[in-house]
Amino acid sequence: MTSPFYMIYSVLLVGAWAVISYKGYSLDRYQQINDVPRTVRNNPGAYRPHYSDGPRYTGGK
Amino acid sequence: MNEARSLVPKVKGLNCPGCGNALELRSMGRAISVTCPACMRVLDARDPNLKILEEFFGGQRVIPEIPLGKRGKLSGVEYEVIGFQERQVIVDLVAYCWYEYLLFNPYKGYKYLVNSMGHWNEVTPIHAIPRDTNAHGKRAVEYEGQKFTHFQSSDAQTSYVFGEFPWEVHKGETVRSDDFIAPPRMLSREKYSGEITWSLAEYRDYREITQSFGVPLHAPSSGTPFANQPNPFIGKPTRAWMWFLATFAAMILLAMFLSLASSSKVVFDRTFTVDAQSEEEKAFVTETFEIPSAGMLHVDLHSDVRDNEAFVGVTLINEKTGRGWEFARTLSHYSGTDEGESWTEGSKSATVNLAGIPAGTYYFRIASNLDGAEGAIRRSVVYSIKARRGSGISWGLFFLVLLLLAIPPIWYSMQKSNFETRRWLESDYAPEQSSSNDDE
Repeated sequence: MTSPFYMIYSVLLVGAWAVISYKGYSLDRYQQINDVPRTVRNNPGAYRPHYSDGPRYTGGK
Repeated sequence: MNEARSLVPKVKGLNCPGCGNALELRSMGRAISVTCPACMRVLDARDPNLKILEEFFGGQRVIPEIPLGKRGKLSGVEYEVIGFQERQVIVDLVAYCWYEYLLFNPYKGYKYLVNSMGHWNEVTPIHAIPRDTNAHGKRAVEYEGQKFTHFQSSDAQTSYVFGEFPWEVHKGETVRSDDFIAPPRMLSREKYSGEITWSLAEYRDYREITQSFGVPLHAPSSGTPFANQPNPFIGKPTRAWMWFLATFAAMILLAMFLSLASSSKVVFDRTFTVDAQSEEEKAFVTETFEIPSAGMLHVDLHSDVRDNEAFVGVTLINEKTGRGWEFARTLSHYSGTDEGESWTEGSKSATVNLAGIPAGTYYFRIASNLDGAEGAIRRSVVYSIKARRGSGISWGLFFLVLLLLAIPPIWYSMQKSNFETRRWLESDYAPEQSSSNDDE
């Protein structure tokens, strides 16, 4: 039988990989916002986005 | 109890002719030579008058770790220590010593315990003659169906004797010795005056000897493996690689299951146009669409931009909860010719992977404009946004995990190989060290 440490190590590693793969993960840059105002549907130009990596910071009207 | 009584030797009361010290013989009349513990003279045990065979010409006395007279069990048989020798080989004027304990059992005869720098061997004389053969290009012998590979040959010299022996011992006696190994066993051949004797050694852990004889012994003094010391990593690389393969197979099955469980469905696919004259961002929202289940969402942007840049800012918004995911990408493409060679720069496409998007109703807020440098050709740019559900499996992460899983079996394999390399550095087959001084 192989080392118990290796068995535990591999189970933890594969388990973590399975959870990450199931939930999905991304290394891409994007922002998560919790409260986008509902008014954005009626007036999208008034909304100020939070792009952190784009060349522009604010949107225009 | 009966066995213990039967092991009590017939002690013969004798006195050393040199110093008068009382002598004790333990091997029931089988001793041929005996040393006086007081004056260290070697005496003829067959002579009733104990003729002096060799004087002790001074020098340091060597105290055996297991005292003479001590009893202990080896391979289930009780032996008594009756003799002790220090032997040595001299290499480049340096003496390398080891210690041999002669053990006696009246029913089983003689055996040896050999200590070389804390490595112990239980040695039994054998009467069969091993057959000459070869192994991996080296000389070898075969005994009881097992091949023993030649390890080293040396001239072994007796430098100190103490106790009684079934042969005539002489300090300074030199024998030609050849060792053949099949760890944990070793066959040794000793040649002296035309006479050849063979013995079979079995490696013993020093703790085993401590327990058998009840004397505290020390661990091997150096990290260098002994000739027939068992490799502690034997079998471990194989078992580790088997486990690695089993884990790899499990990961493949899991990946297949996860891929099947998450459908690769396109949930949004629209095309838009950036006005050629637009210099400021124009923002708009799309119609709603459904994301059926939680997981990864891949958003693909593609454009037909040429010699310009199109800035696209995207916000994915959950209609019910107001949660948003925002990103911006610049889609660009430039081309030209430089000294007859054409070049292109930029990327017309981009993909953003959004993780952990819950199921629900969503829409996009999109803002775009042409962002080229002054003087860039301004023409309308058509771009598309496609959002698709997909599995979270990243093959990059898959292989990274595989690499991390391979570390222990690789380490075991290296340790096993390293142990053997270090073992053979002590043999006659060690690579010669290259000279650092070259003659010009």
